[in-house]
Amino acid sequence: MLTRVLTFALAFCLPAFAPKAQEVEVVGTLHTVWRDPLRRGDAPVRMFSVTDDSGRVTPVVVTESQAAAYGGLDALNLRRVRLAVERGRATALQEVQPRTARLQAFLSADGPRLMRYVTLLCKFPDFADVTPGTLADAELNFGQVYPGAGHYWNEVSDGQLSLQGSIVRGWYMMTEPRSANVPGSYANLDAVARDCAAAADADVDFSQFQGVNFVFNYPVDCCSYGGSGSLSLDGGVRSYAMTWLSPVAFQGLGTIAHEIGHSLGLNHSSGSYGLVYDSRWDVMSSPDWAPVPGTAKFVGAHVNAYGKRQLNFIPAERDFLATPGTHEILLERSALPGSNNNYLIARIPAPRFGPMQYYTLEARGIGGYDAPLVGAGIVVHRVGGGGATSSNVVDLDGDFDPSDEGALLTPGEEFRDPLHGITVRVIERVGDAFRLRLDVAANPMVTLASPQRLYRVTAGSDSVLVDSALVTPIGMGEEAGWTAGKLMSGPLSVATTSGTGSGMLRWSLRTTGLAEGVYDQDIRVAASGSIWADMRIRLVVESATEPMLAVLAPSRRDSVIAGGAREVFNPVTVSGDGSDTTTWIATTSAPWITMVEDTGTGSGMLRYRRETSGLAPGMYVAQLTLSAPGTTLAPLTLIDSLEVLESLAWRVVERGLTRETVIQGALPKLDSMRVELDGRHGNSSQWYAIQRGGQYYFVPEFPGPVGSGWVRFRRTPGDLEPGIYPARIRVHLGFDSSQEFFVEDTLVVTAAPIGITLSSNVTRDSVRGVTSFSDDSVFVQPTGPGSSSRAWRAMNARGLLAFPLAAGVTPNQRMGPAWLRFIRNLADRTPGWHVDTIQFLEVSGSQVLATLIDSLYVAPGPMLTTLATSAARRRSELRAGSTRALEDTVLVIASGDESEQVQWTAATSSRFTSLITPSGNGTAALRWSRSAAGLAPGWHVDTIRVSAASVGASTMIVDSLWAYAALAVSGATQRPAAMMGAPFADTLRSSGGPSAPPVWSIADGALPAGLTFNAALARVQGIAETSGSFSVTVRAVAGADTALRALEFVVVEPTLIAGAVVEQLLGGTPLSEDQRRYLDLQGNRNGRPDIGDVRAWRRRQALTLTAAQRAELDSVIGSPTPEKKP
Amino acid sequence: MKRIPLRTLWLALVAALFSGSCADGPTAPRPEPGSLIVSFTTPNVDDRAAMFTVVLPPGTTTGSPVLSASGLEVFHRRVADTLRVAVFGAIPSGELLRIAVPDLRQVPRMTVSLLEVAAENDALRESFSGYTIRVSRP
Repeated sequence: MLTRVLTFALAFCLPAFAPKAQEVEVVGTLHTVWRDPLRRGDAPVRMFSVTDDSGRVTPVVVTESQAAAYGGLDALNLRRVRLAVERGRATALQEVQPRTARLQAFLSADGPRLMRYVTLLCKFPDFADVTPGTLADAELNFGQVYPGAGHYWNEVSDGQLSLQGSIVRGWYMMTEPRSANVPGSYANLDAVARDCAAAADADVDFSQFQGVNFVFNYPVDCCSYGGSGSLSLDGGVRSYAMTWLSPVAFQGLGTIAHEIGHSLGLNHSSGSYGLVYDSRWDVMSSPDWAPVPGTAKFVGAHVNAYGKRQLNFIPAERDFLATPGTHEILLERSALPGSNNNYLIARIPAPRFGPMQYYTLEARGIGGYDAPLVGAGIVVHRVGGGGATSSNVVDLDGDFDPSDEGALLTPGEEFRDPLHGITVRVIERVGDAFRLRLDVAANPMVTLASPQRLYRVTAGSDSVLVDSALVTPIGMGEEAGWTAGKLMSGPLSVATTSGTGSGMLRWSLRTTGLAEGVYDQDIRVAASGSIWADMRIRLVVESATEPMLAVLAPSRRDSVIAGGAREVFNPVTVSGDGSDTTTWIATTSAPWITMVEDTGTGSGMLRYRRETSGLAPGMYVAQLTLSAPGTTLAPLTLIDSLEVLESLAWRVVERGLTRETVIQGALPKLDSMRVELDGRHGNSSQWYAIQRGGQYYFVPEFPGPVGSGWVRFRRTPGDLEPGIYPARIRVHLGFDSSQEFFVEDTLVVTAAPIGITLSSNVTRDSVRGVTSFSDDSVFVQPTGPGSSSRAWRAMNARGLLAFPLAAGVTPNQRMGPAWLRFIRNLADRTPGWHVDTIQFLEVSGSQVLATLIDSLYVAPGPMLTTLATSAARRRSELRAGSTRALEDTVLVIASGDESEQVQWTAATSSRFTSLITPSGNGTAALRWSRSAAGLAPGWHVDTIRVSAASVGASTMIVDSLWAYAALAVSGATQRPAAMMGAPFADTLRSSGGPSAPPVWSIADGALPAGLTFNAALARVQGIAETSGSFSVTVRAVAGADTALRALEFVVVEPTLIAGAVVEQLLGGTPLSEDQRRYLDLQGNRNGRPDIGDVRAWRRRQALTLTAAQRAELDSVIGSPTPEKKP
Repeated sequence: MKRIPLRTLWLALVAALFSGSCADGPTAPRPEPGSLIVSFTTPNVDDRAAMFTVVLPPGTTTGSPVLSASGLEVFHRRVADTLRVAVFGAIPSGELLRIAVPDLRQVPRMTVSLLEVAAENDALRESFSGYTIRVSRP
């Protein structure tokens, strides 16, 4: 035990930091940049740099092992570190508290986030003539409508990340030629970023953005890059999410999404074959593979669920962590999930691979950017396996292609990991979700009740924050020991460094002398050979400042068509002390502004409408005043400028079809309609046409025209099933989206006729007598849409032909192109011509799609006598040692000239068979019996040979017997203990018996109250409501065998800590759900723990607190409490 | 016109000074430290546990509750300005406990609410009809 404690104590030791004389110490923010080669066969490179507080950038090489103590390189990204650097390599690393990188805090925040990127188009002066795309095209590629980057990330994040407010500017001419900053194969990213940003600085207020995309007119080197960096523009050194893109940004929209993913901190994912860009299940692996219809652009699918969870796109309540036992869950589709309680990710720990490794499950291939994936089903990733990528697709068929259907689990399929005792079965698809059954063996683990804490204090405060959480070891026995230690240096003190069984982990935080910032202080609780648990503690030390008012957009300018209205949303931020209780109010005297939400407390949203009815065309300027009455805050003045334009008239002329009927699988159909814009601004107004509603069959073209023009679009039936697909085309103005109209369009998809082509429509053969064997085959090729998966069947009308049997397949039924082999039945054929036909039909139809005519010529000749049997193989089962006789019969068939007179005899190898009719004449029955007396359990095989010596003919029957052991209920008499109040399940097993599964029942005794016996699953399950020992006799019946077994079920009571019970009662840290249920069962059983339950529990425990217990209780709930009046 | 004697004027001036400085001048009220009383009235004779909250004026410090009757046990927990108290034992009607506060004049600003009462059989009282709980000055 001492050795274990020492081992864990060492594991919690933080790395020493002692720079040597020749080393340089660097303190600053650690930035990570991923280098992605444009040629996908090449490997990516991960690069690091540190930016100190003065903006100086130091490139450095850091290893995963150096970062291991802080959760790895992914976790250290954008955090403050102290490095000892020698010749560009870090020789020592230490995280520095507090973490002040605002970008890191922003990326790890919960809830919806608004992240604004500025995209800068920059030219190298030595390639000044090269312009790979227009500003308008770039605005679309980075914009908020499909397939722009804003639209992509909004869909991927399920609305949690908005890139609204992002802008594109350029082209700018940089000062340095490409040759100066790309000296070799690696560009100086920091230099080109500073050069490009400086060129745009006059137009861009960088303080308004969290990210910068640099798009260059010529490849910056071999690669595209994504990550983070720093700029010293518009008010000090700031960290920004950054991407460096080559002209590929005008076509590879998936690459834009990929690099922005890196800028958000995501690492690569991949298949499990050592490559990086081979998984289409994640844009962070394979980015550009799905064509955007009607363009030369490409996109990728969604980010995988592991990445979404990292970025908090998946809320904790939709993340299922599988504990030991059996679970049945619904896993919602990952793309555009429904607003329900279904899970979006399921995680199953796999500790035998490593302490922090697990599997993830996600439902993919349905809707949105996931629609082009190869199919719909469950994708399994393994996370934490090390290497260059964070998660790896588990390719279930192992065919070296992790992106094909072989990586999908579909209904009826299973994924098994025998090492961890994990089975995942897809039961069915339910709408856009999949019902899964997870069987997880009891891998030991440590759990923490509510494993996150957040504290906020004001800088300069002098206090000690004391807190605690319940530690529960699972799967290790009640006396399992555990240790606890902090992972980072800082103001945290761990009061409980070890414990046994369930117990409280206590800690304290001293705030004295702490500077402003965020202090992350994780405590790791571990037990030998188990999955550990981390308590994530965050202390935010805030400045003691006056409240401050700010708005996102102090001035706005828009255009709107006369008569229209537009609503404005302008976020209001109140920061500083007392910000939560500061009330603000907005006022204006402009009559054309109507307030919708003009007041709030704390940060909120200012909303108002601009109403232009009654306003003549012209420019209108309104002043809004935002003030906080009752405070000393200075009011803010907001300027809203509105250009009211003359009204426009819309007309659709030269409309083509409004309803088109196509055959399933047909090629896309082009169509167009002309939109006429009248009015003064008609010729200068840009407009867009996009599809609203319906399937994605309507694909308009971008960008929208300016002035009157054509909408060219295509109706793409693709793989749509036959049906009617209505859609609406929304046409709206670019600068005033409220100016819109809709055009209805309908696509009717009809089923395409199926056809079948045969490799030959005529087959023939000739034989002499019955001595020959005759078979033939034909290749069947279905035609028409979906032909590769069309099922068809073959019918033989006259019975001349026999189709060969194939295991598990209906003999005459196939799918898609396939060979059909057939054997001609030669028995009793008279000499001459015989003609037969095979008809080919759809499985569910009766229309004959093709016919094969087969001819057989039987030449005259001697008809030799042959022997055959009606069955060549027999199989049966008997209990080993049983004296019961099992009889069987087959027909011996004699054919040929004088077959009725031929005499045959039978002989057996006599391992378990004995003949009843050892001989016969002509076609006659052969009978024998079997006995398992004296047989050992297992398979036994006998052969019965039938021969007619007079004509030299023989045949053989192979008889197999499964001699099974006696049926028994296996496992221990003493069943695993159930915990009162906690879910319990114990599956009974049987051994021996015939192959049919046994039927279970309770023969005698009664289970503890709350537990029931599920006979179908042979499982005792439920929540025990009373403690004690219970004897139950179970019965298993299979065939003629019956087994009875007396079993002992024990229900124990959990040990609750007095302090924890009282703390729960008084509104403090709640007990676990199981413990609360147990407490209620002690008392009035009204479904919730209350003071009556606590009283009952105390009485049952005969709880009279000792002085030591009283002291422990007081340390949890507060100050000492005298019991008696003095 | 009758002339006022100089001595009379001097006396009037002295009187005016005294009356202005002592009798009518503003004086800040002083805090009255002490222990407030929590009283409990029950229509039953078999109350065995009760829990209630006392909401205090912001910033009010409190001492630990001190029971006024023997045979009881009390636990308490303070979160922000709310004190939650649980009492176990045969609870009679009358003064239940006392809590030290820095200023008894704040008692009218305090509110006390009964949350749960358990009977001898551990069942919760379904109704608080006939129950009262209040805070008062001694």
